[in-house]
Amino acid sequence: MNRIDRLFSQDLKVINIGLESFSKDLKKQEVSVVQLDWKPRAGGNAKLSSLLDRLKSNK
Amino acid sequence: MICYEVRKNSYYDSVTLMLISKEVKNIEGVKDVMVGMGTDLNKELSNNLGLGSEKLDELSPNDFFISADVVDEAIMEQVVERVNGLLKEKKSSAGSDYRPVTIKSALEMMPEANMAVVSIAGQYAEDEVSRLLDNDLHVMLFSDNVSVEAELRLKQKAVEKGLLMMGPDCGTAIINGVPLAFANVVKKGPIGIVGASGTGTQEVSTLIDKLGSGLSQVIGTGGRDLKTEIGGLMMLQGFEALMRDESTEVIVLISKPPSPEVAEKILSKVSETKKPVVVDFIGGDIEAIKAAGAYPCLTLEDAAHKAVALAKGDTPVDFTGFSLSDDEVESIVNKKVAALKPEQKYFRGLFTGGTLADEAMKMLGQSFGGIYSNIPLSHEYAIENLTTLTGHVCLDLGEDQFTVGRPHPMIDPSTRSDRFKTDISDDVAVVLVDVVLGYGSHENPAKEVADAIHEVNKKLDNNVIYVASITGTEGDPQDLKASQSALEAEGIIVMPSNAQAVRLVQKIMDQLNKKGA
Amino acid sequence: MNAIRISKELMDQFAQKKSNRYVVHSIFKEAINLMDDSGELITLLTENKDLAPMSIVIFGRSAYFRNILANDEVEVTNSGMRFIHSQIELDFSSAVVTPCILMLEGKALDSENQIIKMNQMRNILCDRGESSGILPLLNTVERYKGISIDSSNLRMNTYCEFIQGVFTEIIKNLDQKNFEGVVSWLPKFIGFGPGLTPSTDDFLTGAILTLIASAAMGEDSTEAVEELAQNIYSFSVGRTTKVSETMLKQAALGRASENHLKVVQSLFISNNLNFEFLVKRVLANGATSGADFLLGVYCAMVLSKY
Repeated sequence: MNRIDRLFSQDLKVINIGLESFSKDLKKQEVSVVQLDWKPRAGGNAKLSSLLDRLKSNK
Repeated sequence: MICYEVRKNSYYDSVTLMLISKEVKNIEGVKDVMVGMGTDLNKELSNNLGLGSEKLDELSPNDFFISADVVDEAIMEQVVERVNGLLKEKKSSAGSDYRPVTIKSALEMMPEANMAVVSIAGQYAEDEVSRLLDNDLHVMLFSDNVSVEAELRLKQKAVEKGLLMMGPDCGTAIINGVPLAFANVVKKGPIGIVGASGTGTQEVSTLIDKLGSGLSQVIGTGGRDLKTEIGGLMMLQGFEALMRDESTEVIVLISKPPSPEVAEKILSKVSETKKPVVVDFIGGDIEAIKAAGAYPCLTLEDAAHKAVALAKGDTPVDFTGFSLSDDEVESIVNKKVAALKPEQKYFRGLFTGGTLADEAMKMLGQSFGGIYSNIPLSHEYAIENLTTLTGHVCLDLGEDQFTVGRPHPMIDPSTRSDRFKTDISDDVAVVLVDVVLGYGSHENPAKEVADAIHEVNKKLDNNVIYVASITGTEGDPQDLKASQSALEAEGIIVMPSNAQAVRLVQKIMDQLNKKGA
Repeated sequence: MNAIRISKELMDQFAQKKSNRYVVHSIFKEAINLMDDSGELITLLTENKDLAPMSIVIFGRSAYFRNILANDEVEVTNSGMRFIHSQIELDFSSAVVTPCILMLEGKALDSENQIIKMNQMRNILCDRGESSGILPLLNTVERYKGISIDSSNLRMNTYCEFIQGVFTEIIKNLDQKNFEGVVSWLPKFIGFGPGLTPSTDDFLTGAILTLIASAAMGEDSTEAVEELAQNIYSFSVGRTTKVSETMLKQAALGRASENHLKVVQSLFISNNLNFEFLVKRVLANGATSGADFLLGVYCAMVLSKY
């Protein structure tokens, strides 16, 4: 069965990588969520944008 | 030794009971365990397994019991503790606060995870998303600064695996009724949306809710999905899923005008389904949509009206008017315009939602002269200098030039509040704003707008007309009614949709021109 | 809180003012049961759940449910309900009223297509069904009927081993249409298995609805099946959980949750519903309830088709 069809028949269970507020929103709605304590891999670009910077993308 | 734990007249759902059974079996020192409701046959099975006793005989079918064969009493204490923990955990349902560091360990914690929301910095996103797709997870990618090449690679992988890879940009989705990132709380219903523009999709979904219908699924494809480079991969993938989805009876597609070859691909797919399809390629080719057997739209609001009509089995008609009566609209316009001074000539649109700004400019068109913008309809109206505005101006404050070092104005309205101070002057006649509610958005954007306008008005000599619309539902975490009251208390006219707000602005400007002439 | 859907049977009952006071009986994450003076249960469900007989679906998720107090008293008003001590009001004036009853209108499905659907269902059960309940007994039925399909990889568990003997007797009697024989085994069958609705009750619910549908399509006497269904309910009283009793009582009236009904309907009527999707929706219910229900449906079909 197509994975999207299967998704539509299941309860949503979410892994959140990044902004914690998304986890909080989901928890408020009683959706199961695991928040990843994500860090850039060693050798990655140390110049991380601030959390808020990442929020610019909604258009 | 056999030990028991009994809860008289206690009810737990089956999933919890099963979880308890599995977890208790895993405790070292537990040889066997049975968890269940105290029916005669369940008790008999316990006896057969050597887990019975007189104590069990007293139980009724509405009592919950655990009987366990354990090494010693200390182990039973552990069992009871674990059971209490599990029951409590279920109740709070918050889950543990342990945070895994890798995707692998997150999946160990939640093996049945089916969706990932990713909002890390763009340059790291491809690696992580690729890994998530490898693990058969659907992804909502919220990060910006993801290259088109990376987006294409990820979407190709997702399509190959039959997964959703929503984003980047256009951070909205409602999957199985759960709003992800920026999305509203809407009623469940027969209408499914695939949208490539975030606030456009939010506007249509909230209007469908307000019209009394509801949504099955809302899939945000990412803002670039219908560009030639990506070829509409996710819109096709999402559309096909909604074609198959039992709960979806009507499909709505929303996007800024796609590139012609992508439009053709999508419309040819549209002609394959028997389900009615409503298409809003905001300002795009209407004839091609009709030719594909779909219903074209004039505005986002029109798309919502048509989808709801089709879901009810009615024939959709163009919605081009107001919810208020013509007389009421006229009286508002006359009263407001009469109070304007002769020097008040200009229009200001100050938007947090890009699609809403775009729709406003397309609807207003050339009716009162060109509109200057940071997202202009043609380049001669591109704004060079953001510090001194002249003429009619409409801004998308979510664009990069306004958000360097600041969050998107839907989250932090202060970007717009600052623009109010500089952009609204005594020569402005009418100001148009959007207020977007829902998850992801600021906790009280309406109050921020009202407060900012209150401050601006103190400094102005003239009475400026303010028109707003709220993209939100009764179910949103911000209070919809209170939001409207907060705006109205400041004298802001609140219209039921962006399209109606724009239409009111148009009437005001027309009346103003007549007055001037 | 606002109700978005309400089952017709419940709306009718409110209209007749049969019961207007309830007590909160049990609270789950996605459901709350209320009980009236006569011990009848009605259910409030979150939007994630399918509409069930005698139930109301509430707008939004379960956030409201957390604020409802255990054992609270509930009063039915003209357009809603009032939870007296929790100080919560439920308005169902704009809820859509839907009957949760088996409907068999349309063109009858031919035998060939019935078997195709049965096999689709079997494949899903064998691939994905949670087998902690009595689903592995699927093999027992197929062996009894001498059907040689690839033996499924469902593995027997302690529940199956315990009940297999009685299960076989029930199957045998059902196959011979000896409903009295079925009834005589019920005390050894009802109320067995894990979960809040024990597995055998879910099985019986699926079987009853399928037998009713089959009878209504003119292949069996409806009277005999109705009597069997009534007997199953009467034998369940006191032998199983309150929630399970209610489920069997509703099943005897041809009522069940929406998607459960749609699965049964789709096996008899030619429609354009996505059958595999429906089966999966049902499977997603509870831990083993969905699978055990589908086993009942499958068995009743196998007995009539082979």
